[in-house]
Amino acid sequence: MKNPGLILVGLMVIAFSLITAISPQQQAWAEQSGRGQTLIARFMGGSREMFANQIFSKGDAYMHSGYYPTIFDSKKLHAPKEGESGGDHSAHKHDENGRCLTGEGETDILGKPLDWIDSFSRHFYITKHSHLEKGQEREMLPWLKLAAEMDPTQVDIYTVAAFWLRTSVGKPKEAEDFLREGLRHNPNHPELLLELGKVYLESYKDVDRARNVWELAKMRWYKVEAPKNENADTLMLEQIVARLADMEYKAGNYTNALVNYQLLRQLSPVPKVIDEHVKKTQEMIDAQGKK
Amino acid sequence: MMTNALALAGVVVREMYRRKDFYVLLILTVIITLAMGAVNFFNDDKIVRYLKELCLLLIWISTLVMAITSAARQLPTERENRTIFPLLAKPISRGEVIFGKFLGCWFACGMALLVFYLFFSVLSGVRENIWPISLYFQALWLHWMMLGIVTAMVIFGSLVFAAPSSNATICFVVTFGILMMGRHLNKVALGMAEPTSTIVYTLYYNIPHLEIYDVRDLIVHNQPPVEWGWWALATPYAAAYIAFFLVAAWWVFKRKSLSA
Repeated sequence: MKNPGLILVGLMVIAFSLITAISPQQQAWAEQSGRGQTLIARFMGGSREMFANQIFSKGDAYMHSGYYPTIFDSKKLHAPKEGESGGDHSAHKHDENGRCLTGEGETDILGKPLDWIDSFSRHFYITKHSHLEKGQEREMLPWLKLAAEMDPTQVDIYTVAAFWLRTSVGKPKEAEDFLREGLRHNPNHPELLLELGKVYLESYKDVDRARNVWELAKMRWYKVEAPKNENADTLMLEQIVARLADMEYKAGNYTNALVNYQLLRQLSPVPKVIDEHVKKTQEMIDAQGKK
Repeated sequence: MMTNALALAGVVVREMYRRKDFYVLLILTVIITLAMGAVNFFNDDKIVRYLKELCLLLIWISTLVMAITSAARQLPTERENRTIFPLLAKPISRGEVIFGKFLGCWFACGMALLVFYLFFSVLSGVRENIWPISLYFQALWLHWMMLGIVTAMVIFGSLVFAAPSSNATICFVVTFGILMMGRHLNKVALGMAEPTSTIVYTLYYNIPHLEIYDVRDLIVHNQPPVEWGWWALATPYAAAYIAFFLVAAWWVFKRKSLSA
């Protein structure tokens, strides 16, 4: 230990030499294990997908202000009431995305207290059903973000988050960014493209970009979903075509609107309603022709 | 009796604050909460409920760790170091030792709770601009009552189980089990065949329902406070279980040989 400075310099030389040797290997390892992966993805690997549903449900529980069924509750929130057909969702109101609206369906998930402890304990937790509103829906977003980190292939997470971001929270830019993140993980997924088109049309009023995105969504549906035959998600195509048709009609592109309305007529469970749109659009085309 | 017990409780409180457990847990809670609060979700700084939930969860874990680990080592340490003999040589009964040890641990937890809830209310108030003081007070009180039951249970366990580590582990499992499953045992029992159904229902009626004292969801989701009458009733319910465990501990301690 006569010259500690020399030892220090020696150690620095060794450290520098090691860095030059290890660094290329570390880079190669990072590329192999997936560059750009988040910390969660690196630590949890495949197991993270198991937690994604749980976290997504947590977001839903926030939406219902903490009033949410556990695995021990036999009744589910918004399940059909007794006597109401399980598949008959037309029996109550829905928002534009087909979600059940407040107050409809089964909301009493607890039922009557089974004993005095049950009755007493209900004064200490949430027993009334209410929904987040007036922008408070933002509170569920961290859970959706985390769920997307856990399982980036779950398309619903991106569309639900984007819906609330562009509507109640008023952040279309963030909705667009999140959908694009979803598209990076699920390239050209028609449902994500459908939601992205809504951002362009309803938030940015950008008809051209909305049209391009929805046309791509339609094309992708035929490529991805159509080969599934009976299992194909026709409701998704119905939504894409309906959006396109309405947008083209409002933009005055009646010929394009007519093509889409005619396609929608084949898909819709209520073609008579669509017939009226076809008729109205045809009249507009005729009127244009006369001019 | 009360003077001796309070004197002993004062010693326990001083000992607990000389140890670094509380400070470490508080600093960890503060750091984790602030780090999570700094996370940017969709450029929206009004999002706060996830942070409240996380902070309250950390407070619950920290205080349970404090209560269980401190109560579990009180009597075994006295016996191991043989300080129990000079302690009992003073005019103090075994019942007063049990009560004093319980009070010390419980008061220390209460003081720690005050600091934790102060941090939580400041954090929540600054982020959300609402100050539901009455709900915070109710939550703090109920939390403290719950810790009283747990502390008494652990002190009783320290006389039944061989080592503090096994006692602490068993008490952790029981406490978390009750907190997660206690509310649902009756529903589980209904779906079972006899005699399992009766056994589970008996268990349901006899366990201390610690989950009643957990009103975190009310705070997280900005719900109104618990009706004061019902809130007040939770106190004698806790007192009954505390008394049961302390009397049971005293009964075991009275018959226990100290030289072993």
